[in-house]
Amino acid sequence: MSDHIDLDKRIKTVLAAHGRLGSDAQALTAGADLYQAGLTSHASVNVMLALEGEFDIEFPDNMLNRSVFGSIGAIRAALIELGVDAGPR
Amino acid sequence: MTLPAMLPLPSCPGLHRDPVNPTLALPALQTPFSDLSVGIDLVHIERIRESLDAFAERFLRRLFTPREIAYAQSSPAHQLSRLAARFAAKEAALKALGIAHAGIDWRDLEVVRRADGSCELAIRGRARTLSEFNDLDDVALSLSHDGDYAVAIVTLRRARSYADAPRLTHQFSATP
Repeated sequence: MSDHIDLDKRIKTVLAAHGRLGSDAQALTAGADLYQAGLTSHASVNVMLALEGEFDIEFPDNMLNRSVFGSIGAIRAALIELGVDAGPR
Repeated sequence: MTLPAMLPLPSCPGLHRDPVNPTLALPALQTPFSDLSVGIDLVHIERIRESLDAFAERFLRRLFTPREIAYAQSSPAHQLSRLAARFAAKEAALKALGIAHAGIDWRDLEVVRRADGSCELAIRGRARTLSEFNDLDDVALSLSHDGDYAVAIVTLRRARSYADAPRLTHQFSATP
């Protein structure tokens, strides 16, 4: 069972809509490598912009790197760092 | 002058005996000390349209400088391919600079058109600060697009010669 269920679910919804992954975003584990799952650099930009809209935040420049968008867990950690409510665990 | 061949130092992985002064150790030629670095990126132009449809101005403002946007929008027929080529250039530059993991503002990597229509890459801010290539005196950029795709290649060549590379202070007592 994943931690931060609601947050992960919203991240997966964004990934499904904008990540152009080769696999089902809903089936990914929190630690799964999104680049291995098919996330391209361009798609990661779309995911970043979609996350900003979904959570009403803005990623600072130092977070615009591959590792932040490398897994659902990494995205979740970045969102929490930016003040997003982590939700139930 | 003909320099002697590089001699690996088996007892010190990653080091070679300095061909200029054999009593000194020198790092083996690896990325940070390479003379040449290259990056390439390919972009499906239709993906740019999808980004514009989904995020509109926010996509443009986060990735491109006002000059890049103005040039792309000066020809509606070429807007998507121009944006795609510029996005490819920024990604290629990240690879060539070795800072894909660093986190930078894409607008610090700008494709600048020269008067003759050729393009060059301006590298500013954090992208330049974090780069291993502080002596960006020889950066080359080439863009192309055809049909559904745009591509960019960036090459970087450092002016620092091998003889000018930083020396370690370790002294060897024995000659090769």
